[in-house]
Amino acid sequence: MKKLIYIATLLTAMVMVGCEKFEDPKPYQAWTDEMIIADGYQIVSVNDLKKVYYDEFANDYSANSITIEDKLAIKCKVISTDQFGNVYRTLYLQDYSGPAGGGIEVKVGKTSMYNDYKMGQVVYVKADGLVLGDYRRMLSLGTEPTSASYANDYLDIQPLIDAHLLRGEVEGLKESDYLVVNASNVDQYFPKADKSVDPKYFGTLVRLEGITCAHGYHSGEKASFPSYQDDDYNNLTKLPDGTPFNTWAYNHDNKQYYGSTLFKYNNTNYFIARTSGYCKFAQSEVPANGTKCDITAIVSFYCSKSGGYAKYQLVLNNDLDVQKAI
Amino acid sequence: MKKKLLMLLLLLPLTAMAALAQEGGIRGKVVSRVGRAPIDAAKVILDVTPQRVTYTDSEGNFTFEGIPYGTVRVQVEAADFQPTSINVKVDVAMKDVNFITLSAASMSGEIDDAFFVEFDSETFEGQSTPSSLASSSDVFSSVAGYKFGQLRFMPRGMASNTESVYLNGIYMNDAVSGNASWSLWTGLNEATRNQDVVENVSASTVGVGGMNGTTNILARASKMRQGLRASVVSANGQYRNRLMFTYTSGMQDNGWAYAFSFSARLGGNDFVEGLNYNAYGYFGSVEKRFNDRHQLAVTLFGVPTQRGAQMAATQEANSLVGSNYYNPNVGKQNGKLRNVRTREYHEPVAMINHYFTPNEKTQIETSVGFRFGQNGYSALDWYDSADPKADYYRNLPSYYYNRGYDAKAQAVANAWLNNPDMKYINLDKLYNINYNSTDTYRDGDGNIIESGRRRSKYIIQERHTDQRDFNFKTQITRTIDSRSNFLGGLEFRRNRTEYYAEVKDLLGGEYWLNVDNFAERDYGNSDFDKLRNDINRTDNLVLGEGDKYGYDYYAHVMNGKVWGIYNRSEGPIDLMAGGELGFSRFWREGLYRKGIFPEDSYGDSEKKMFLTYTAKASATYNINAAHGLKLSAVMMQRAPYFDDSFISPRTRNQAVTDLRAEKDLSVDLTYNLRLPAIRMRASLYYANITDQTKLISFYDDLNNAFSNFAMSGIDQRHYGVEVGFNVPVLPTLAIEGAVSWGDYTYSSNPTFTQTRDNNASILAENEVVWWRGMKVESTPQFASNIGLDWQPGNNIYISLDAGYYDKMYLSMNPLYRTDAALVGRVPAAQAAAGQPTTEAMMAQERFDPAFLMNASIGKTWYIGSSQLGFSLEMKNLLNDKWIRTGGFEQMRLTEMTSDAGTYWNRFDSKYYYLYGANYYLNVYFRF
Repeated sequence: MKKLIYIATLLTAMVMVGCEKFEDPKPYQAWTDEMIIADGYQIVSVNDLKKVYYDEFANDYSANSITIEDKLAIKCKVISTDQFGNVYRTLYLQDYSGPAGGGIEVKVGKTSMYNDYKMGQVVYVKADGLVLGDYRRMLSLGTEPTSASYANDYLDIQPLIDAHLLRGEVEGLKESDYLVVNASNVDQYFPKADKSVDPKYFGTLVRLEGITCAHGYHSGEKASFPSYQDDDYNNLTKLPDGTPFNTWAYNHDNKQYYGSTLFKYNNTNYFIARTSGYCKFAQSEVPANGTKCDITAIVSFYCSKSGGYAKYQLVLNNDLDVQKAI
Repeated sequence: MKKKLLMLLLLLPLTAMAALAQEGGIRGKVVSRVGRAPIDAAKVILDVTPQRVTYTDSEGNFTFEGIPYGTVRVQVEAADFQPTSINVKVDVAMKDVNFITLSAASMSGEIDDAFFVEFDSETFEGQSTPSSLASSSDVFSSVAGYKFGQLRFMPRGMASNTESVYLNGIYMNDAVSGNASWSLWTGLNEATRNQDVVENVSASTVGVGGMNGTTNILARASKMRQGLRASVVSANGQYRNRLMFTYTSGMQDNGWAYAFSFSARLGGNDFVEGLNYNAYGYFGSVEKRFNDRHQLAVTLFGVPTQRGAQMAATQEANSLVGSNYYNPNVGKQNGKLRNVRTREYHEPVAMINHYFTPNEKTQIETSVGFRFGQNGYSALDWYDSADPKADYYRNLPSYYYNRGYDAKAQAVANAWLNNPDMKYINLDKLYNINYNSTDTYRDGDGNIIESGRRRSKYIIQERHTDQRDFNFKTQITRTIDSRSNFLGGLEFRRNRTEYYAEVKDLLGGEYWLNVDNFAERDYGNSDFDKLRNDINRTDNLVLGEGDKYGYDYYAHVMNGKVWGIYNRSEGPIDLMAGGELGFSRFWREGLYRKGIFPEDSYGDSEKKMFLTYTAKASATYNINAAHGLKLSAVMMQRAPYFDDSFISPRTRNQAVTDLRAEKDLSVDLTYNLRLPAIRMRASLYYANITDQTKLISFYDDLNNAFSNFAMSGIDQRHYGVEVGFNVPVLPTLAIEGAVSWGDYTYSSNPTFTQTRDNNASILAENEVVWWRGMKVESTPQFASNIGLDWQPGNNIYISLDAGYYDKMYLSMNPLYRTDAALVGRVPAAQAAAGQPTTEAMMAQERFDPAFLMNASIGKTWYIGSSQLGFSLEMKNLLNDKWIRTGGFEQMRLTEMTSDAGTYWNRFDSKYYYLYGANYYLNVYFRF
């Protein structure tokens, strides 16, 4: 009997020892200015960082790149989200001071980044070793180029991302984080698109108030709007079945193509919203022709290799960022 | 005078006939060699046709009657003792053989399913389970079952579902997969030690069986040796410790017998991280012998278990980690290692067996069994988030090397080499993503579903297959005369298995949304119902821990059969004919109405019905007591299993088109030699399996879709030779060994139909998998072992053995052998230098041969009638850590570009490796 009790006790003890508990980890510590400076970095504005490129390639509009040698860091807020699929593998950051400090695309290379980088979250970028590259007059931050077509490449690998992108607090976006543009001031910020315009506001978060959605042909543009571009670079305004194309992008029969929709204040100041066929709102309808809209988007720039055919483009995070103007 | 002569002539035949018809008996007493202690519950087998079996009583006594005069072989087996056999000449009414002594057996060679690492079975196709062969007294099987098992040997290359496993006469193979359900009683070694095993095509005493052996485990009180047993194990290759305790009363004078057993297997091992065991076992059996005619047994057992699983890894990942035992299932949380893939199950089995012996020639057994409980397998699940696996292909250098990004590849490699945490899933990161996921979630109309709370983007789910399995069986065994008997039975089975996923751990979040990730990607938010996994209810959209999600359906299976076996002995020839006729009916019952399949997901599917049958026959020519030649054959038709019969059972009721029953044929010729100088068994066999069905689900890069790949018309051909021998070169030294040489081949090019998982669209229909001539995978087709068993005296046992294994092939991905995957490739004979070839895509990988050495030592001390002993097994003495035991080709493809255009390339294959040198020390007590 004693033996039975002893063995039963031993078995019970084994049972108790066997169960393992896991504690929830603590939240990550947010980076601060002090921590960046303590690592030996100088915090500069985004536009000051971009000067590293412009000082080298002032009027050279080829796809150049330059590696940042100095220990420079930028302090930004996240202004893009890839949750809805129109932004893909890349992160748009705007200077913490606001649109006037500049905005920049960081070619991170990961997907579902909205889980790690929240809209309005403070992000520091330790820029030393990264490469500023030009693509059709838009600068981005990445790594050494690996193809002749692009001036830099995606960071891609997590150790590299962890070394350069440091997350701060999630402060959210304030009114001062938006560049408010309307018919009366658009020329001040976004004059007629030309290769030589001041890139100060490229890559920033804008709210375009009272801008009109314009269907059909537009002077200076080859395509009609809205349209999508197929594999052969044809700009098409009708679906294969003949019905008019009127959605943000093309997503039919397992094929996805970019869509373009034009918004204008006037014939000189206009923007083209370029939307991916893979995004979640690709098949949502664009505003009707003539509809006045308020749009929150990231402004980017595009021109041909020679610098001609320049235009402002809009990168939409979400179709809900396009509202009918009151 | 003439009258006397006439009388004599008349009487002579009668006398002769009387002499011929004379029957005698055998009695004896089974005792241990040391101390001559009587051995109760020893199994005594009279090797005649029909075979007769009895068990010794509490005093070790046994008796057989009604044996025709002649020489018969008597075999004796008992737990903890080595089996023995003697030839007895029956020439008197009762031949008293006096004592039959048994020597204590080495306690090495125990098997439980921990012997095989728990492989991540949802991806590993070649999952095998411990073979019951190890418990067989057959000279080949006893070596093959244990020694060959190190390399995951499958007897005759056949899958686990070709082997029939019974417990107390009830068929226990899994109802939905057909696999032998060893996991239901693993760890209860003492309780399940007593097994009747018949090899290959032979019929057993509990049913006709199939073509790969039948095992009946006798796990009830009266079949277990009386006494108290305890053992403690220390090991480093399976679990860390095992504790086992068993008490058996034996059949007492008042007709009661009871037995209890408990076990615990705990801890990890020295090779693979995250394989911690928390496994327990309990067993209870009570039996009452009312009188000579009625006996009733009630048995209950269960093995509540939690154990980690290992996932195979690419050689690249293993090289980066510096170990062939890298386990990508392991994550790090708060500095502690945590395996995200764990099995957790508790499936008790309850049985009632009634034995009715109306007369000495008839026995009727009626049994009822019920299996219930839960069986879960955990895994990470995520919604709209990055793949968290450390060895995700984009986290490895090869992804960048293959694209010409050498600098990035080097940077990744350096990170793996310099940071030991790179190999772990970063669970802290997943928690932090969940902490910060407080976005507002809306339905397609913009209504808020959740706002302000933490939505888990990563969880640990648990995939359940919870069975309710009811079995009924009644069987009659009738001795017709001294030369023949008949066995017949009626069996019925009703199984309902519930498949569902459950939120096990929210990983720091507050809720999980029950929506289909892939449907959202394909359909967007425009039609919210399409995203929902269940549109019948609104209360199962926002979920917490313990809630079901994703899918929920029943598999209903109903089987029934009648069978009969007739055994007859005609002089030196023993004949057996057996047959079985039955049905199998199964269907799916959806409990969710899936948003993308509202018409075809909820409620019952079409009910599938198949006729099943088995016809089996054998003829044994007993040349004399030493030599025997047996020819056996079986032909059978088996229903497809539920698991292979529905295109996408997690989403809808659609069955595989053209579902067919599997047809099998097997022939076996065996020679047995039993001489004092040598025991040997040599067999030739041939088996043909046709019309198998297999279903695989995976993400198909060719079509950018999660898809279901239903193959039918899979045929296999198996043939080979088996030889086993035992040669006692000295009274204390024996050489034993076994060789299995086989050729197991896919003998057809099956067809397949592939469907997209998120709608019913057909991606490919009745296309071909070009794999005829390729080898059946995941078992060595050549296996050999030779060993020395030395018992120098004083109850010491020493053994040393060496094995050589070859012809082992990697589990294949059928997609690699389809026309779609071969696009852009040309046959090697036509290829220019560097051009991708069809052969390269289709080639099947063969593993390098393996050489293994093992040793064991043990000793038993007798203290009065008690025993104290130990056994120490040491496996893989040469510490070879490069022996591949299995693995699989990955299901994914990557698009490549060459001067000639685009083509597809395979992903790297993943492998499992045999553990290096490891030990198993068992210290046992018998009171």
